[in-house]
Amino acid sequence: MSATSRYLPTYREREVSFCCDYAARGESLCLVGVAGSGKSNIVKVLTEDREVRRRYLGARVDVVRFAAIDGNTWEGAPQQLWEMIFSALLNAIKALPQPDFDPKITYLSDEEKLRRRVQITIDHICQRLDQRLMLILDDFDGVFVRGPLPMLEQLNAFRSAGNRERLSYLIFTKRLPHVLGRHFELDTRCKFYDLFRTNIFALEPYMQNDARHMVHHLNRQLSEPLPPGAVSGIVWLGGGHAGLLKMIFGSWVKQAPPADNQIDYFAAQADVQHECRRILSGLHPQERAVAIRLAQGRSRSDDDDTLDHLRRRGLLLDIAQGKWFSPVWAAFLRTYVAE
Amino acid sequence: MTWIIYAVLAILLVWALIMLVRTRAVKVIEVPQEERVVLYRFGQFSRLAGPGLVTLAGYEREKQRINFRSEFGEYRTNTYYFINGIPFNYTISFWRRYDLAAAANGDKARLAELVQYTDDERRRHLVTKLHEALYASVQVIQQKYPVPDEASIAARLLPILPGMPGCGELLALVKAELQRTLPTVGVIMDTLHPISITNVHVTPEVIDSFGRGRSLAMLREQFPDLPPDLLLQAFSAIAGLDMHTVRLYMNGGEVREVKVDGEKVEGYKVAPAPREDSRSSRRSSPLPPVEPDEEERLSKEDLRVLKRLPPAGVQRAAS
Repeated sequence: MSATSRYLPTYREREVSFCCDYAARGESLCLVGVAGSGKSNIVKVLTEDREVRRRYLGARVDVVRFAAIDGNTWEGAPQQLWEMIFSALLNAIKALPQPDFDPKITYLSDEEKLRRRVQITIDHICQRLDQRLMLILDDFDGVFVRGPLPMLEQLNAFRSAGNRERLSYLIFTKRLPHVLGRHFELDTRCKFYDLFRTNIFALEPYMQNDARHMVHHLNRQLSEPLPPGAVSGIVWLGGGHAGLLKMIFGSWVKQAPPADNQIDYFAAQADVQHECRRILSGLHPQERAVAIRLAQGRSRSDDDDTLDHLRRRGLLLDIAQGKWFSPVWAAFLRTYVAE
Repeated sequence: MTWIIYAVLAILLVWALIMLVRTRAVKVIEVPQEERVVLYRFGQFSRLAGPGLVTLAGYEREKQRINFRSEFGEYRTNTYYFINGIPFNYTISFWRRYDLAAAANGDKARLAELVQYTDDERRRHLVTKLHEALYASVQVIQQKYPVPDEASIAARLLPILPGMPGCGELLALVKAELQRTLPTVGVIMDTLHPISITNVHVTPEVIDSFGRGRSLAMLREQFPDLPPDLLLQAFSAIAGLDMHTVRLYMNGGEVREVKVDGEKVEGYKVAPAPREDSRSSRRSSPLPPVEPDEEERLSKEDLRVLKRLPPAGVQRAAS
C-alpha cells in the first residue's frame, strides 16, 4: 500500500489490530459506531487487504480468515441469513479446498439445508483446514431488532459444534446490541450475546493521520487540487468522521467557503446537514436528546451518564466545555429543531 | 553323454538371456492399467504399448508414459466471447481421456505425431480446440437469440446463462464440435458424462452494472414468463456476483447507499423493497424524534456496557 492508496498501512490501526488479535484468539467482539464512521472500510481492510492483516497477524496471516456479511441486505428470514453467511464463507476460502456436501442427503426445508451447509463449511474451515475464522456481521442493528432469538442462538451453536476458540464474530452496530434486542431479552437469554457481552467497544472517529490521509486522497483525485490550508481546514471541520469529511470536501470543491465563518457555512449546506441527520438518526433516542440539550445549553442533571457514554463513543471530546468531535456537527446540533 | 549336451545348451541359453538383459537389448517393464507407454527405437517412434508386462526388444527405449484414465477436467480459455455485445467466458467441465490409438484410428504416421506431445501440451491443445468450438457456437446462438437494442445488460447476457434454452443449444454445439476436433490432438471426449458449465465469467464492468441493479430489476418485467427461480439459477453461475443482492434486485429492492471514491463507484448497499406503510412514514418524518419513549430509555447499566478501545497515544482528529 503506497502513500497514494485509499488507506494508510496504519489505517484504523487500533481497531484493525484489535480485531486481528481477537480473531487470532478466537474471541468475539462488537464495535458500536455512528453512521458513516467508516465501519465498512474496516470490513474491507480485514477481508481484502492481506498486507494490512500481515502487519498485525505476522506469520498467522494465512491461518486467520475473515468473512463478512452486510446486515443491510438481510430481508428478515433465517434462510437468507444462512445464505449470506454461506456465500461469504465460500468467498473467504476461494483459494483453499472447498467443503464437500453429501448429495444423497435430502433436507426437509431450504432453510435447514442452508443452515447445515453453513455448519459444514465452518467445520471444514476450522477443523479440516485448521484455520481461525472471524465472521464479520456488518450493520447488524436490524438483525438484533428483528431476531428471532433461535436464529441468533444458532450463531453460537455454529461455534459450539467443535469450533470454540476457532470461530469468532466481529459485530458492527450503530446502537448498543442488548438495547436493540431488548424485546427478546438479548442480554439475559442469548448465548450468542454472551460471546461478546464484555467486549463491546466504541468505534470512535478517525485519528488525525487517517482523516488527513483520506482528505489528501480525495484531493489527489481532483484536476485542480485544493490548497494545503483547505485540506487542514476540512480535517478540522469534519473531525475524523468519514462521511462528514467527504461531504465537507465535496462542498468545498463546489464552492470555497467564506473566510470568516466556515463552520456555519458548512452546517447550512444540504449535503452536510443530511450527513449530520444520518448520524443523529443512528443514535439511541436518549443519546439524541441529551446531545441536543448539551449543544443548545439545556443540559439536565440526569444527563451525566449519557454524556459520559457519548464521550466514550468518541463523539464528545470534553463534557465541561461541550466540545464535540466536529465543530460542524456541534453547529448542526445547536440549530437543530425537531419536526 | 546326451544329458551333458542338454546341460551345456541350457547353460548357454541362460547365459545368452543374461547377456541380452545386461546389454539392454531386452528389457521388461510393467505398465499399469491406466497408463500407456510410448516406445522409441533408434530415435524413431516404435509403438504404443501396455497395459501389463511389456517387453522392450530390439533396443526399444521408453520415451514417455501417457495417462490413459478417463478424467474430469475444468477448462477455461483466456479470452472473452461476445453475446449481444456483452463479453463473457465460461469454465466448462467434461470428462476426457488421452487415447492416442483411438484418436489415430490405425494411422501409424498420425500416431507417431500424437505421441510427441506431453500430457501438459495435450491439455493446452484441448483448450485451443475448446476456444474454436466456443467461438463458432456463440455466433450461432447470437444469431438465433437476438435482443432489441434497448435490452438491458442482464437481458443481453441471458441466452448464454445455464438453464436458458440458448445455453443448452450452445453446449450441444460445443460438444459436437469437440467430439469432432479433440481426436486431432489425441483426446477422446468421454460422453458417458455430460458436458456442463461450472462458471460464467464476465468483466468487472458488467458485474458493476449488476451492482447498480436496474438491469436486474428490469429482468422480471422483460421476461414475465420465466420463473424467478430459473432467473436466479441462471445468474448464480456468474462468478463474483453476490446472489443475495441479485435476489433483492429481482424482488424490487433498491440501492440504499452508494459508496463513491473519487470518480469510481466503490460499492452499493441494497435494501429490500420497503413496504408501503414504511415508505409513507419515511416521507412524513424525515427527522428523528428527540425524546425517547419509556421503552427506549437507557439505564446506567445499559450505558456502562460500552467501553473504549485501549488508548494508542495518537492525537484524535479534532482534538
